[in-house]
Amino acid sequence: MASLKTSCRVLQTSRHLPVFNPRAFYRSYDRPQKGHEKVPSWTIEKHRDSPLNATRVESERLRHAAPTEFRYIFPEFLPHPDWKKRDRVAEKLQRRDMLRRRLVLDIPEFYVGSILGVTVADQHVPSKQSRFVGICIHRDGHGLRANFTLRNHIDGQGVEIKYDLYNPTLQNIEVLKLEKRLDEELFYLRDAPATHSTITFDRKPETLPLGATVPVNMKKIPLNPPPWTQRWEKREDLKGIDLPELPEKRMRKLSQIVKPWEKYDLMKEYRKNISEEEQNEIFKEVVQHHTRVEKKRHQERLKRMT
Amino acid sequence: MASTCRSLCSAGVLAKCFSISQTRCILDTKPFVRVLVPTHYQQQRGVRKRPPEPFARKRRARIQDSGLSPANESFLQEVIANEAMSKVEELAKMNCPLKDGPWARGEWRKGTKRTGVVGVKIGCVPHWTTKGKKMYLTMLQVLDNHVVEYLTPDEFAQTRFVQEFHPKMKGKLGAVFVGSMGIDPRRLSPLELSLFEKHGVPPKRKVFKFVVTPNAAIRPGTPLFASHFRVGDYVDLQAKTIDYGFQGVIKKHGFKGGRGHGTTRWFRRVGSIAPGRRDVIPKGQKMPGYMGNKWRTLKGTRIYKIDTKYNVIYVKASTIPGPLHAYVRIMDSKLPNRVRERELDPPPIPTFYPQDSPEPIPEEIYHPDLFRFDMESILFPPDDPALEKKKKSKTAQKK
Repeated sequence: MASLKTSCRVLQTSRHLPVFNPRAFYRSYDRPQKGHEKVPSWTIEKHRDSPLNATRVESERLRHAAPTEFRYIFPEFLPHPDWKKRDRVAEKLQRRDMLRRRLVLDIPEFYVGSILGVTVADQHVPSKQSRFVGICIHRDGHGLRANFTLRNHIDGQGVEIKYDLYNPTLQNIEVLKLEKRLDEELFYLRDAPATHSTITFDRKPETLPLGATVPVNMKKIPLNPPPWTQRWEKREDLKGIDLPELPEKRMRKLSQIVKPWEKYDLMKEYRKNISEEEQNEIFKEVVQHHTRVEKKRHQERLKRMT
Repeated sequence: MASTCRSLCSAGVLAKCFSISQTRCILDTKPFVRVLVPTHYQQQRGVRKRPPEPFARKRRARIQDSGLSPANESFLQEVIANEAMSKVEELAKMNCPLKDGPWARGEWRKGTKRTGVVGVKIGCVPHWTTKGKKMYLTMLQVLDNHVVEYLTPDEFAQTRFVQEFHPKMKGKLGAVFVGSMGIDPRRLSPLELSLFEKHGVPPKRKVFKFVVTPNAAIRPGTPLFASHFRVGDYVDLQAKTIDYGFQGVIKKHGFKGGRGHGTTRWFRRVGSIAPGRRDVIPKGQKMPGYMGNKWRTLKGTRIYKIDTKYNVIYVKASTIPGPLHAYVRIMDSKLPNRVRERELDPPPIPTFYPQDSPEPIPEEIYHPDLFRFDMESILFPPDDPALEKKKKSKTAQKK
């Protein structure tokens, strides 16, 4: 009888009926550390697959295995590494939309350091289309939020444009030169002489021979003397910069700022990345699309070349 | 007692786990006792305006070690799963767990209030209109929603909610209780289970109450889907905001703070509270305190897409209250203009029944303004030369 009494307290004190009281009903179990009104991610995941779910959608199984280089060719398919921002169904729905868009628009393989020409529909231009050519200095975003930044130097002025990869106004993405650089982001081109980011608009595309690996440009870029947009001397991880001589005082201060132990931090590395097993599962969907569509396109490209 | 109980379990009597007497018998025995912490009330986060109510639940220990052998444990789980599965199969067969079918459907009248559904916020993604404009849509998944209970206006009038807080509703409005996501029945108390058992509904993890007019009554056991709403409808979204805990004045109210240079300890302080030599602090003065964990509503957001396979509603909003995976109450909008529109084009009442629609429902339903990713890339039409001439002449006149 004791248990009945205590559980009675849970419910609304009504004269005649025991009734649901949503406020007091769910306070004790599966509560995360902060806030009541949230389901923990793992509980949702468990529920989606459990037999208790009446509206369960069974996961489809695919046979193909994903090649390892896919994680570099399609980086935007990888979800955000922070598990607090992730949801399996949301990722899946986004991937579906992304692959649909890839059927319509040919989004080629490119990397930070490649030179691209992008054509966009523009309402405010008389010809209704505008083309921009530049060096890709950054790739960012996950899923439909994926974007890339192009940089060029025009009329003595540095110009950068950020494009959403899945923006439907994108008409064409042309790779003029396919290559990688030593770093994952080239923001230091802002503080380098203009010649390193100047590209002519009538540049002709260079093609690589069939089956060749993507070359890495080993060029080290000399920076202008400071002031800079960032303290580049602090960035030990950057390999592609050639620092000028700095005043003694600045170099002395450097020893206080630098964190040389960070490159040995395994946990930091782990938190940045998504595990290989999970990657394979994600790229299974891409493989099907790739085998169907991309090969055809590749052959077409080859025909054009010959 | 314990030994008899175990034998009961192994005999599979717990398969009828929903019946109160047996569960109570089991719970009283040693291995199943849920330890009550007698001295403390459960910690309540958020601004607490009054002392804890007498019915506040006390903290309970989790059932981690049930005292059963692994074989018995797995057997129990199997039984529970089978029980749930058989119910699911029933659902699938009839599309409706009610053997006599749903209640007679009411007609739409002016001022009708329908139920809402319980969604879970799963993400926010950019989408584009067919004219190439970018906008952010939030995805809300309607996870396994069932109507758990309906109270007629007379019954509802007896509850504390109406008697003390909303006396105007008395005798006019009923209530529909909607549950979301299944839960292991062993985690609920017998009395809680009895509420679900009343209509033969599987126990639910979360229950919400929606106030409805009697013509929008739904029979308990009816599943609710994302297609309870239509594409293009306007909805209000209610959820609890992110719990930030006790915060200072800069984070909570956006004060500017001070400068450290040339002052003493003037960094993130409130500053002056009241003018002059008054003893009184004005009411509503912004001060540090508890931030977040409050119910907030975002009104008048539009539905742009519905995924009927995964039961996902895409809503045009990027600022829905609450963190990721927050429960969101999704209801018909109360904004006067939207109410007026709804009167002209009423939604399905009391809810959408899949057996009603003559054609199979499409997997995805899009708003005509929304760009579908399998459409051709957007190209703007060239300017009309006649229009341009007009523009030029206008500008010439101005000069």
